[in-house]
Amino acid sequence: MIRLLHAADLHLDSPFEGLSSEKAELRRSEQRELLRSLAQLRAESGAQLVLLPGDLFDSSAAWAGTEELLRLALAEMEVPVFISPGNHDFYTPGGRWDRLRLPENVHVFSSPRLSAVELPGLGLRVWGAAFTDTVSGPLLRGFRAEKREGVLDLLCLHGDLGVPNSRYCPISEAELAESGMDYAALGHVHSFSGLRRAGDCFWAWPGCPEGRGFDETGEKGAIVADVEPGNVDLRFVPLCSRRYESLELDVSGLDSFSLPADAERNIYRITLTGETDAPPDLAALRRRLEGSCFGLRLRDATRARRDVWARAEEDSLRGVFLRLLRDKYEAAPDEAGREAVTRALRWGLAALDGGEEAEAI
Amino acid sequence: MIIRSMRADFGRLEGETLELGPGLNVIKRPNESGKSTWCAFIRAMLYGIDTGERAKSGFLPDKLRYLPWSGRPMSGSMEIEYAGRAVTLTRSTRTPSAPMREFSAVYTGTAEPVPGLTGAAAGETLIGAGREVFRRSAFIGQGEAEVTGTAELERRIAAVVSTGEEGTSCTEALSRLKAWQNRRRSPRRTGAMVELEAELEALERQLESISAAAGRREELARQLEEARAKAGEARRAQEEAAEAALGAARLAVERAGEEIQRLEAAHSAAVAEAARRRAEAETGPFAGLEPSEAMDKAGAAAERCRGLGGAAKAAVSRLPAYILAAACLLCLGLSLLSPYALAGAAAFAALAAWRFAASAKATARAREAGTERSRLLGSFGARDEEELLGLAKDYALLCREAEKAEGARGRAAAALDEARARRREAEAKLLGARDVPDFGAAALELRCERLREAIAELTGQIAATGDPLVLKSGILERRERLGELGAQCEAIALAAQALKEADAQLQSRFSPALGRRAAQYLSRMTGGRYTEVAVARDFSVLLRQEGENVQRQALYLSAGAADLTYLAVRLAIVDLTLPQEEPCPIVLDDALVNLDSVRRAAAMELLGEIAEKRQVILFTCD
Repeated sequence: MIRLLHAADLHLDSPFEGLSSEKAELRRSEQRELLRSLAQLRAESGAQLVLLPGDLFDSSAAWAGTEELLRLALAEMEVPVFISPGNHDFYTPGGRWDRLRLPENVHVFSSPRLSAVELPGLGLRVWGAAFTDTVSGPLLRGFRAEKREGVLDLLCLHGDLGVPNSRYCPISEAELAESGMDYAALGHVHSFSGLRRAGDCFWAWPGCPEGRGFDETGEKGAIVADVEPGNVDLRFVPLCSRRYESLELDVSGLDSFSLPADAERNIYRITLTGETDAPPDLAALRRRLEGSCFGLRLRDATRARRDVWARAEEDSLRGVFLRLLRDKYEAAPDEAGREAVTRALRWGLAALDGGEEAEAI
Repeated sequence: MIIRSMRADFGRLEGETLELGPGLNVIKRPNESGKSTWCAFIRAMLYGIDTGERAKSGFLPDKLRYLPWSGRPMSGSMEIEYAGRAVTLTRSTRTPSAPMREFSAVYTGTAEPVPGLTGAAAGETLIGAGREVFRRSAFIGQGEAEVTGTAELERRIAAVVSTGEEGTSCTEALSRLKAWQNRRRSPRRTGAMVELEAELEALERQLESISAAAGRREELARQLEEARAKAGEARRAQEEAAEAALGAARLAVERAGEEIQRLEAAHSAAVAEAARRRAEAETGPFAGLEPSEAMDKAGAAAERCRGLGGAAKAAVSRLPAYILAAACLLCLGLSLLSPYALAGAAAFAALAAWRFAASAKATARAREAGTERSRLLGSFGARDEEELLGLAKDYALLCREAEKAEGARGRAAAALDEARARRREAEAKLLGARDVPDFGAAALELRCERLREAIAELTGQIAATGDPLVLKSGILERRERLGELGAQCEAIALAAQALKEADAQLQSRFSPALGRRAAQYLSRMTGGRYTEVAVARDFSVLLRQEGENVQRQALYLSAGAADLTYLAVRLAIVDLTLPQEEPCPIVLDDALVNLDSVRRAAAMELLGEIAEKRQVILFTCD
């Protein structure tokens, strides 16, 4: 049995969504912490091997210091580390991966052709290949490792599974089943896949270890897996210092709403739904919640209550205005269209009533 | 409301009074008798003086225009009939900056204030409309016949044709929306979105400069890597070469040392040999002589020795003496025979004695020569001449040998000196071996240094420009905000569009109402000449002459027709927008001055009719 640490899609130096510059700055240092957490996890878990299938960096332009930190973290891992560059940090001769001068325990796959590094001491082979451009054809297609008695075969590869026409190294379950691999450590998809199996090949995506936007919500981390022929025990270990969370909140519960206890470190997007007369007071809600979380984005997706339309029957400017908008609302093809009309309605009513701006700048 | 009488300290009116009755009041006064002043006074009594108005060219605000000529403070009173009761309104001036600010409204003859009538609200209450509506409807000032829009008037007109309450006019609502829109993005390129865009642009520029600098840095780093590799190679080659040179030099020094040692030994030997030879040469009888001199000397000595030897050998024989002696003896013997023999004997004896003496002398000489020769030979340590010559030859040989040894010594010394020079040379080479070969390492290292400096500078520049992650996050944030504000703008635009549409719908309803009423009045006053009037939202008026198909704008009408048109529109507005209960007076200041007599008569007739329902006060100069 071999214990390995499998992490991918670190996207170091990637920008963060929904944060002010100051907080983004803070997040930068936290993102660097991530590298140390990984090294720590390696040590604590006693993993004998680290597989990093790609997208360690977000772009080719790395910020001073990040590369150095990566180097340090990888050196700190001590055990063999394998990196298969992905579409965000693809390999080019003389490029970053060459320039980095990573410590000796690190092997970076540099060819788009699958190759293996044998670790006789651990009784295994690690197969990998690199993206050499922002896109890649199928790197696993038609591949089959010649099995050797008593030698585990591991795959470390960045690629898209289940998207046959993907521009990012499409992989199929059939290819995995055929590959002869005991475990395929994949990267590219940003959410944890859970342990999956294709034929005799177990595979998983760890997802990105740190969320960067509201499309990467929830707990994020890396995989510690115990691999032996025909069996893989897999553990997902959360690593993220902050979570992105997306919540829906019915406007009726607005007053009693409060964020969960551990909200402080997280970034929330709260979408207000339900029906209201007046637009919900987002500014007040922001004031109330802002202190208890790291980042907050509020979205108003409430609908105007039916009563608002009631005066549409009035014979007045307001009535005619309401009637016109109601027609538009009913003709709107989708929720977005209806939302647009709702917003226009609120602005119009605010103007007619001589009230405040319907939505704050 | 009916105005009963007025007393004014207002402009040219100095305590003058004007009595009015219900119905139509035609006040005929000549020019400059204060007709317009009375009109303004009525307005001032109702609404007060707007102290906010400022003088500008061609316009004097009321507060200046109607300062009493008498120099007294502006003041006045007005007796009116309101809600069936007589009310006295007074206004006076306490501070010159606020003329007519002091206000009272009491039931006439009492001190009981009329509820609801205050300095600010009196006009609104009594007329049933604000100052601006009053000015555009029931108050028809001189040269102000044309109607202009105001939000309140619009609201009132809208209310005429709709059943809903109108808190706001469309214009007001639209201007609010416009203001809100402008806070986001105004046509003058101000507003939150414009600011955001500027920030975004700045951030993007920063990011661009960073990525350009980072690109440059990357390129420089690559160059540095290359240069460093080359420099390393050059340095290694240089060191190898230096090492080799050093080895060679060291070897040369060692060799030279060894050779020197050998040569020193050889030299010592040569020196010893030469000394020995010299000593050898200098021990013999010829010491200090040149070999040739020795040979000469030896030759001479040998020659002499040979001479001496000859002399020694050449001893004179004693035989003749003996013979002579024998002859003597014979003679002596014969003497016995002859005496003469005695003489012979004596001669023979003498001759023999001479011979003997001579022989002894010669023998002594020979002996002497022998001794001399022996001594001479002895002085050379030779036994005979041959040996003496041999000695001289030996000496010459020794001398030659010594000379040879000396030569060898000299050569050995020279060789030693040479070897020492070589060693010095080799030593110098050894010392200088390190910096002899140049493979360009120094130049490459300098280049590396330059590149490192440039990289450090770029790194500093990048760090000073900002953190790309932070910048990108900032860009994301601003884009998102821009998107949000853009959506708000769209919502505002949609609201404005819907409002305009709604307004157009309403307008299409209130315009006909207003137009119809105005047309009735105009038709009456023009004897049926104009039958259709259309009033637009901006109160511009289109009218159609009976029997014509083309509508024309009131602007193009004659002054009389235009005045009449606007009078009709104003009367229509009064009808439609001012309260019918407690109808307020209509005040006309020379509004009919441009009309011909027929139309004036028709207008007067109409006013008379109207005056049955509300007081009409017409100031005119004839």
